[in-house]
Amino acid sequence: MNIKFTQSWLKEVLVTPAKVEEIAKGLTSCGQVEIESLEKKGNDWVWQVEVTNNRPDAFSVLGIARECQAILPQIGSKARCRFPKGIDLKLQPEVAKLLSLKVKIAKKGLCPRFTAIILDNIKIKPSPKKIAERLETAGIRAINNVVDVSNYLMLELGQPMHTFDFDKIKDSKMLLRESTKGEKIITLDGVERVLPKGAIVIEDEKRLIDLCGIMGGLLSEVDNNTKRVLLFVQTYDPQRIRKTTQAINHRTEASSRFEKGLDAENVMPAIRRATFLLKKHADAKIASELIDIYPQKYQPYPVTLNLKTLDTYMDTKIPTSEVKRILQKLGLKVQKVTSKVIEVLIPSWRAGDIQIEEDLIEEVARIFGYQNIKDKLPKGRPLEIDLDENKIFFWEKIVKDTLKDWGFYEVYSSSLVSKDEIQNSELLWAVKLKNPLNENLEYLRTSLLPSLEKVFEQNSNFKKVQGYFELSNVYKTKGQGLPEQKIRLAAVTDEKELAKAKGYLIGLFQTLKIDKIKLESKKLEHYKVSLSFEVKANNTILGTFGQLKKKNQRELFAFDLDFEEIAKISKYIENYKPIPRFPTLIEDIDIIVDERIHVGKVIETIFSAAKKNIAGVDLIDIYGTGKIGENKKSLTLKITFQAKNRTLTSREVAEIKKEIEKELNLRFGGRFRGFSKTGQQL
Amino acid sequence: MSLELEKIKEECLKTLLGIKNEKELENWRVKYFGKKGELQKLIINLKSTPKNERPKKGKEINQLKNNLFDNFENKKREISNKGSRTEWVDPTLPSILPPIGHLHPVTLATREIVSIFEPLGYQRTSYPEIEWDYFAFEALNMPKNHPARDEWETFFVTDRIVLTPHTSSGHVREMLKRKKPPIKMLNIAKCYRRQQDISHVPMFYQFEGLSIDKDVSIADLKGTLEYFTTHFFGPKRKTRIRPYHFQFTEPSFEIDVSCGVCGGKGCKLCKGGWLELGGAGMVHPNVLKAGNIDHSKYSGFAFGWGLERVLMMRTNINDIRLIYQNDLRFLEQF
Repeated sequence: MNIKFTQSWLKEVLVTPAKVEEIAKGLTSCGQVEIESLEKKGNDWVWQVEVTNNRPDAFSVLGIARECQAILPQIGSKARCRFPKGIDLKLQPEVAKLLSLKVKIAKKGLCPRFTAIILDNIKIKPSPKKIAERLETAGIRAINNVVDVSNYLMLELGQPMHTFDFDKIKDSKMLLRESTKGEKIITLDGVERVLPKGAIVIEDEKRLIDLCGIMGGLLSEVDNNTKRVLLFVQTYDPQRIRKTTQAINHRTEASSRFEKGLDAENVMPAIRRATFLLKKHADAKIASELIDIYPQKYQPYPVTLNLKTLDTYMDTKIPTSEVKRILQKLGLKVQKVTSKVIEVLIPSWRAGDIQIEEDLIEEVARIFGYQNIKDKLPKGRPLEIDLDENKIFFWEKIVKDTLKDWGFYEVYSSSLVSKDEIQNSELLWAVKLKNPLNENLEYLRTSLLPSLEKVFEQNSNFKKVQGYFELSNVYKTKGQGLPEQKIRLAAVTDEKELAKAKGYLIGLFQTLKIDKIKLESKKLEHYKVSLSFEVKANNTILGTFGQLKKKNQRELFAFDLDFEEIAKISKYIENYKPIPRFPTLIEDIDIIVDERIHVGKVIETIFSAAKKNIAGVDLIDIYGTGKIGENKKSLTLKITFQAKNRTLTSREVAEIKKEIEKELNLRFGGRFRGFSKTGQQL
Repeated sequence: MSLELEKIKEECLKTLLGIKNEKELENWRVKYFGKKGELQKLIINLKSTPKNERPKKGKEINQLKNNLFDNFENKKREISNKGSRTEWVDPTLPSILPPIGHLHPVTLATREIVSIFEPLGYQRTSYPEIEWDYFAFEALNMPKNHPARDEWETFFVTDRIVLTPHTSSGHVREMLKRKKPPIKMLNIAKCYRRQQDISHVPMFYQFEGLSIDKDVSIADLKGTLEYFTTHFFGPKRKTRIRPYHFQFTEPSFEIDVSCGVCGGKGCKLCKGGWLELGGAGMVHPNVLKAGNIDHSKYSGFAFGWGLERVLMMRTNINDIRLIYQNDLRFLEQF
């Protein structure tokens, strides 16, 4: 929580010769506060500090002074807290005819401590300048001498309080109870609040007059005509305050303190000092007995610090006497000291925060000063390697580098997308957020392709880029369990030729040493029907490839791969195969076949006809129009003849060629235009 | 330039243009640049120039000398190229580049972070991005309805399933997987929070270290942090730890690194010479307990920081949203 106060106020409750810079230095290195700003204002300084949420006791000027009291001696300055005047005022009635208030608390636990006192003879006027200025510095508007005292003490002692106009409380009675759902109250700011079930409220005669811990009710507001005031100081069940502020979406300075859990022992000093100030500034006279309902008085509890554990954490030995001194300076009562342990009693203001040994280690370590602990590097012990996990990271690096080296740009797009990026068929199982930030970020991605298409579109006016890729998770609902989260590798390119676009896919598989890749036509989401393929290796589906459905006149090829599967089957270092020792003979073959015959099938046929006596078949040329005839195409293929274990004789080669010719004729009925010798025998 | 100098310049350049071979060039050089050459004469004559004009004239003569010498060198090169058979080339022709791709800066930062922590024995892991709230909160000492949960602006898929708001969700998963220390986890992963402004995006990356073993101390944590910052930001950068509070560490710290702009003296960009880097702490006993690790035998530390934050501190990127906009003109800078 952020608090703002002046140096002069701090010095009222902290006696120290330390200068403002020294205090800032000490708080920064040892305090559980962060100094947001420290600015000169006239002859004074204004502090703005962020106190960590485990320290509601330090959400106040006194709390900061208490931190300083422990910290400053450590950096060489004496320091002592001085409690402000009036915290020990005796609350004795000062009028002849006593007033009274009937109080009923409906449920145990709503309000751990309830105190109230009635003050008469109130003269409403503006606050003295000092009080008004300090409130304004803290960002609180000064209203009048009564309301201002309650805010002033919230800042000074960390205890929020409320003042009612006593005469506006019907029948002088109060019922503190839980709200029912839908109950309404108009708060001091004039806003009608619709309450959830379980807020803490006060009812007098069938009216709600206070939304406890958050804001008072307008019905019982102190105004310029107020004569009698009910001073009201409580602690509340922090969880209820927190839930209520969330439900009505309204936080106040008071609720931010109450919801962290406040110290019930701080209530009495607060009501005493408030009475003291109201007597001083508003001529108040005590007109009732003190009401103090406090069923479970705070009992300090012991926590033991094992000195050996402390030394392990600090990696050094701190003298027991110093540990003891630090703990005492923090206000912890040292009960027992032996060579092995120190036992302390936890005071009420640190209850909750200090529960276990490690909490005490933190206290000692931070006051001792983290800067006084020597750095070292931990000693190493080898770990078991998780091979499966390592594979993903290993291949991630390789595929990213490969695509980058081919000129692709890597992108990171949002996993959170709008409904537009989810296909209709996916809506049933797409993961949807219960509380999206806005409707553009409502779903989790089901595919990387729409994001990549968007990136292409967004950058299309700049220079030409080979393509874009992303490696990232996509998500799918899976019953009641955790959604499926699968890592995919996808890329898009505006390459026009199928063979070249496919080249990126096949080239990547070659790099990963995955062979026997097959593309099978299949109707798939995102892709054009005519160019939509499933990518398989040995019947395992590895992903998809094709041309994306046309958007904005742009034709994009894309692939989208299951990266986990790929990491599983990729190979890095392969077994060596002997380099072929026997000469090759290279010849071209020309063949005319029907337009719709797959070139891949022709090549396969040549391989199988040659019975392992060829090392390679490459497509040299392909053309389809003109003289060769209707619906025909001509292929020129380069064949490299080579056997693994001997030199092929020319007779053997002639026989293989004959066999190839026969098979091609049989399978494709192609007009065969014969071989031509182009390569030389090596 | 005085008329005299202009005249000499013109004469020099004119004669230089007519030169065809090395011999002629050498003669030219001796005539103008030689010990008794024309230019040397000019310098000697300086003495007769009025004192107050000398510096100006001297400067002009020098400029002329340099200019002529450049021309002489060019001519020399021209002649020697003509003489040899080597082809004349123009090395200043714009290059025809191979396609050059780019990795995203998040990948680059990730790789660098991994390369810094690997020698210390850390191993990279990954855990679900969409996670049980148990691992995101409960196992980290934040039971249901704990107010500390409010500090994370968490996205919910169901009441019990969240988008991980921090990489710390991997702590107990790692302990349960490893079963026994030593543990040295490096988790670099996507996280999500309901916030969006100049320094927050709803999807971002964190990197998290977790080290558990016998006798792990605050000194070990401090040394590790110092090791990281000097390797990532440079040897002049220092770190400091300040007290803070997290539910899943005790003690808890906030880590600052000294400002690279002012060198730690204090400037507009930093707070008194320091920049906030992120959180860290000693693993809370309740977290060890959730991971079935015997707290009486082992202790550990953890740190978790925004990857974009360290990236921005290193690269001058001033708006986190740029990182995920995928603008080509941004991407090609990395």
